[in-house]
Amino acid sequence: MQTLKIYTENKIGVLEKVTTVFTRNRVNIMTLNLRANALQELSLISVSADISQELAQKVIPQLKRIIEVADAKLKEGSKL
Amino acid sequence: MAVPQKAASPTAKSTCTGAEAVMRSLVAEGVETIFGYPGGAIMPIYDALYDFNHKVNHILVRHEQGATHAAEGYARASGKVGVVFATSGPGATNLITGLADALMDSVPMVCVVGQVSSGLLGTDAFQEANIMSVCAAVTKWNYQVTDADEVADAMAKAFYVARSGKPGPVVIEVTKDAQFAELKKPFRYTPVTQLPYYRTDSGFTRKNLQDAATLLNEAQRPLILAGNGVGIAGAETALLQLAEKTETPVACTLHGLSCISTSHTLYVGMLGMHGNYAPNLLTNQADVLLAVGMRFDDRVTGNLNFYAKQAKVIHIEIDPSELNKIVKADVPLLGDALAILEELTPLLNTNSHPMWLNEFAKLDAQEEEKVRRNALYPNKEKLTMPEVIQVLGEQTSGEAMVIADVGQHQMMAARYYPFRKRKSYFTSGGLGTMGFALPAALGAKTGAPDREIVAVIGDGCFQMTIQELATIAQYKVPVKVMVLNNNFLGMVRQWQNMFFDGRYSFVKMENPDFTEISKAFGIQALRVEKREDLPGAVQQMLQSEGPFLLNVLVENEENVFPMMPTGAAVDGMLLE
Ligand SMILES: Cc1ncc(C[n+]2csc(CCOP(=O)(O)OP(=O)(O)O)c2C)c(N)n1
Ligand SMILES: [Mg+2]
Repeated sequence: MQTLKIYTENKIGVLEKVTTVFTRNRVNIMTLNLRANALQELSLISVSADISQELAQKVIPQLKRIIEVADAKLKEGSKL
Repeated sequence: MAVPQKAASPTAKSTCTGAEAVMRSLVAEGVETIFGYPGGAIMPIYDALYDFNHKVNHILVRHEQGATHAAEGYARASGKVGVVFATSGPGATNLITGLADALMDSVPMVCVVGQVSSGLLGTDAFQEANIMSVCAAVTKWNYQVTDADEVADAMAKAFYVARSGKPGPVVIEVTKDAQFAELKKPFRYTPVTQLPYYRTDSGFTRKNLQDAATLLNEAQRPLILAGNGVGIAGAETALLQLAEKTETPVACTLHGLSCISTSHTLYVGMLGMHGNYAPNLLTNQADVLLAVGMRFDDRVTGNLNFYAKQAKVIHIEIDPSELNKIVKADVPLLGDALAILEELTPLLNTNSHPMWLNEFAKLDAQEEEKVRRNALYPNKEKLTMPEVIQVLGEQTSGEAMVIADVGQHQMMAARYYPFRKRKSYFTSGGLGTMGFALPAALGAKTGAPDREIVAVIGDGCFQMTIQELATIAQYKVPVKVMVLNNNFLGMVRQWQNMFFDGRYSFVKMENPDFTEISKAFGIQALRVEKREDLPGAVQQMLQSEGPFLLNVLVENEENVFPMMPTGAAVDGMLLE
């Protein structure tokens, strides 16, 4: 199980754009957490899923391609 | 309908509605043409458009899908952003195919769509559809505006996102109440040139460039794979300079076609399933591949397990998610193709590769003998698609812009048209959308009025967006439409013929008389069937002043060769 940390603008519909990337790559999400920062401008979306290294390398750039996504990476300590 | 005359010019007013803000944003962006179709939820914007009619040219299409393809044709022919208007619900859902098409083929487009009033959102109101969700998967960016004061910023961002980096389609939904509402602050349009989290910077370094240069300088058998990105970046000359300095052969993807003249000695043909024999086979002999603005589509690579395993790959690409997605790049060069090529070429040695070029010539001679000769000089009674395209090529001196639809005729146009000018072959490559060509040609002619535009369309495709003949007729857009009529969904028939034991399952069509249909739309038309009549008919089409349709009856069961069957490697191409 790996955890992806996705930093996004906190706007309506962004979560859906993020999950679309998982859907089209057939990644089944195990846990999902979204938390806005204190100013409610940014969100941290944490997604854990059973995902191979290869697929993660494909999914992460596709997440970053979303205009509202600031960054996407594997959580440190998340083993691949 | 009697329309009241409006007195004051809209810009002179101190107040501004959300709808007017949409129009003023478009003017501020320099938009000259909109392809659209009105309806309830976008009526305030159409009302504002009424006042801007002298500044912005609106073309009323006959189906919203047509608007998207027309905008794509316009964008690709002019290099500007294509703009579309549509209403909510069915108007917006009719855009989906065109959005997906533009996303796949990196076409910059901004669609402004109406939406029900914000108070009705989520109530299943009349003509409400969840366009935010539907469009998320088929746009580069989409956004819903519910506040008139947000219009200008959303529009500025939309244009920036659509045209920057890897271009793509954007949808801006504006709720009806936001269109009606007066802005609280004065209208101000500030063009966007960067965004906090969206990066379009180059990611290549001196070291990357030097690595690429070393590979190319040491290469014995280098090959350039030129894709869509070459034309988008305007990097045709830069690519040619690199190719000529290093004497490196250039092969084009479907979208790369015409970035180099097909008569150039270094041009070795088209890549992919129905491309040319030599560049496909020799992809698996090259020692260095220089991929420029192409994304190793499965129609280009064939079976990946046997694709260019021997080659070092240099990949010039603007979209980071494309690097290493399909083929691992030994040297990835992230950024704009023009900027990178201009930095790379000075690092390269003048070189020559006569033996390597000769291998292309030898294989090409095989294709000439086994495929092209028979296709172009057939002993068949009926016309073949290749000979029709050849006549078109001769009579236009290879200088027309060919807009091809999807199917056998698309591949034949790509294979047999002698491209002499840049930006001369547009088609739906990534999505393969039947019905693309007729509206795209109308858009292309609007965007590039000085070019000769010829749409090459199959009889199946033609019937997908045939109603745009009315748009072409109404606006007297002088496009030339060539229907290659084989009474079959030919490409599907070819597959059934080759891979499904000839079981022709629902591919035969009894077509209406396209010549008469065209005339009924008010467009001159001619039917041609006999070989001896073809040159005269093509000439009549080209010399006609307005739009013209040539209904060419061709061989019903012709197959496109060479062919790389699904699952085969690039060097497993069949010549017959
Ligand atoms: C919208 C859409 N539906 C189905 C297809 C599948 N398809 C690809 S080519 C083709 C046949 C096209 O027929 P026609 O326009 O007559 O061209 P031909 O191959 O005969 O030249 C079909 C059905 C498609 N690409 N797009
Ligand atoms: Mg056909």
